[in-house]
Amino acid sequence: MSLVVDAVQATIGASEPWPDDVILYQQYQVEQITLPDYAQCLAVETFLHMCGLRFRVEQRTNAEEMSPSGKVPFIQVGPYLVSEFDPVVGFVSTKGFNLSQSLSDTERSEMRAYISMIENILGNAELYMAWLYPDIAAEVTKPRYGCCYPWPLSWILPWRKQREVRARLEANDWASKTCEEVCGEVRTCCQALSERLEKKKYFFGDKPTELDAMVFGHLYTLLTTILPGGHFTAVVQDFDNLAQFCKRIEDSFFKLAFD
Amino acid sequence: MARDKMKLSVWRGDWGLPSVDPHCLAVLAYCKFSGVPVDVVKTGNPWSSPTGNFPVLSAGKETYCRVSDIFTYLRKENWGSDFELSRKQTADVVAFSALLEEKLLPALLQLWWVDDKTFVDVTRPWYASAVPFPLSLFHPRSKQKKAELRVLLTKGGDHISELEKEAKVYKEAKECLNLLSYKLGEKPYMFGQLPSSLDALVFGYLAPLMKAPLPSNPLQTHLAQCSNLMRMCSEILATFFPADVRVSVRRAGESQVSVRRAGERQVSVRRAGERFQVSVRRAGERSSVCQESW
Repeated sequence: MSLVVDAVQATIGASEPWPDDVILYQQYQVEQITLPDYAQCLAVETFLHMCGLRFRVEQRTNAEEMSPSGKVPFIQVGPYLVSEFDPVVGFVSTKGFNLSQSLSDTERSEMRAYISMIENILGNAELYMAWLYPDIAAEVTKPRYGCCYPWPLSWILPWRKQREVRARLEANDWASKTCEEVCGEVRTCCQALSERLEKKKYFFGDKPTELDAMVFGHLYTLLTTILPGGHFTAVVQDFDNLAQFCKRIEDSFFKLAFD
Repeated sequence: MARDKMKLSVWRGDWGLPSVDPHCLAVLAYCKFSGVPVDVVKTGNPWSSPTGNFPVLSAGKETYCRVSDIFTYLRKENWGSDFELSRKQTADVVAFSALLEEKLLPALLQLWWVDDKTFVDVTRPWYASAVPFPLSLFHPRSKQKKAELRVLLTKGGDHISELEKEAKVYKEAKECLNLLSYKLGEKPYMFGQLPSSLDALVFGYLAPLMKAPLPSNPLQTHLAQCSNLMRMCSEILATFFPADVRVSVRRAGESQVSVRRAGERQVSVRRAGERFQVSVRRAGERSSVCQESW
């Protein structure tokens, strides 16, 4: 059924231009949002900036509940709500904005593989570190997640979310890994990205693609979020070209947006 | 000091394959590619595995149960088919392995374990006959529950129905097959002339899909259209596992022989019936002789 909905959305959406009042919803950045959610939100924001599309960010405490798939961020484009990175990329391409159209089939398949790698490895590692690592979960994630609710919701909702994340990571075989193993996976992922990027400006060609947006979203989050232990920050900082890549993207797309 | 030989325990094979499990096939293929001296034990008894699943590599005192851990250990011991790869290609191996796990594995779990028809017709009977009693009574069902949970938690949710989740899973798997096909192109293997660990993983996932007698499903149909992937898997089977291919051909021949023999057995049953009648007749003669003697 949802394939029919996707096809209809694509047909109708393609005929309408990008409206002026597109809103991206996320949780409150300073007090509430957690590490994995912030990485996803930043990736989608970066992608929209790279496409040159206008939008504004609205911060809501119940952004997760408003989202059609239960995950942030989601964008409101006219009557449509589209959540998560891949569906947003697909939706934006129906409007005629495609960052990877100049790539060959082989390059596009490699790009999709690297995007899967980041979703799989970095996404799961962030969930692990935020929700399953005891110090961080107790001191940072759970207080932040429950800060907008009165007691006892501020205790029950983070506990429920932690159970969901634990069940998901157990199904994936990530819950049984130790912290060192998780850091090892992150290091492998960063090494692969570093070797793919080498000294180039972007990963594919001389223009950014959705892979660059996703890499920036996740790595910038890992570099700038200060957590007890600082495991991931230390891992990412070992790769100079990735840190410079993040700085370059921030200067190109975010300083301009703020000016 | 001589190093102890490594022992690799895998699920048994069938349908012309050395093993039916994708992860076991990937490890077997990797060991064959690099000529690793390993004793392969084909078993159906999950008791012998520390996690209840295979593959399991035992090297001296250490045991490795995950495919990635096994590959890492073999590379550390300088056994590997990845030494010819450049750094960029090694990065591609990591990326494509994650792609397979993220996009293709849920579809295979959905097809083999969650889809009712396939589970009842193929998967459950196979595992119930391979696993010894009394584990065979509940092992297939426990694997099914794990597979269902994995697909549900990673691809499903409250916001989509079962049918939509199934459609989404198969759609992503077909896109993944297309991406692998683009990556392979006309080359014999993913990175050129020599097979690598990525070829082992792709072979592991695709070979059961190619060979197993599954009820018709969209994934098998789509794979049949990716002729270069089919070609690569057939070549790996023919080159590195010729014994299993020969066994499957022989078994296909034997099944024809057994049909012929079934016809012969009917003949022998008829002859047995004649012999019985003869013996009854002779018993009657004997009794008549006995009567006379009385």
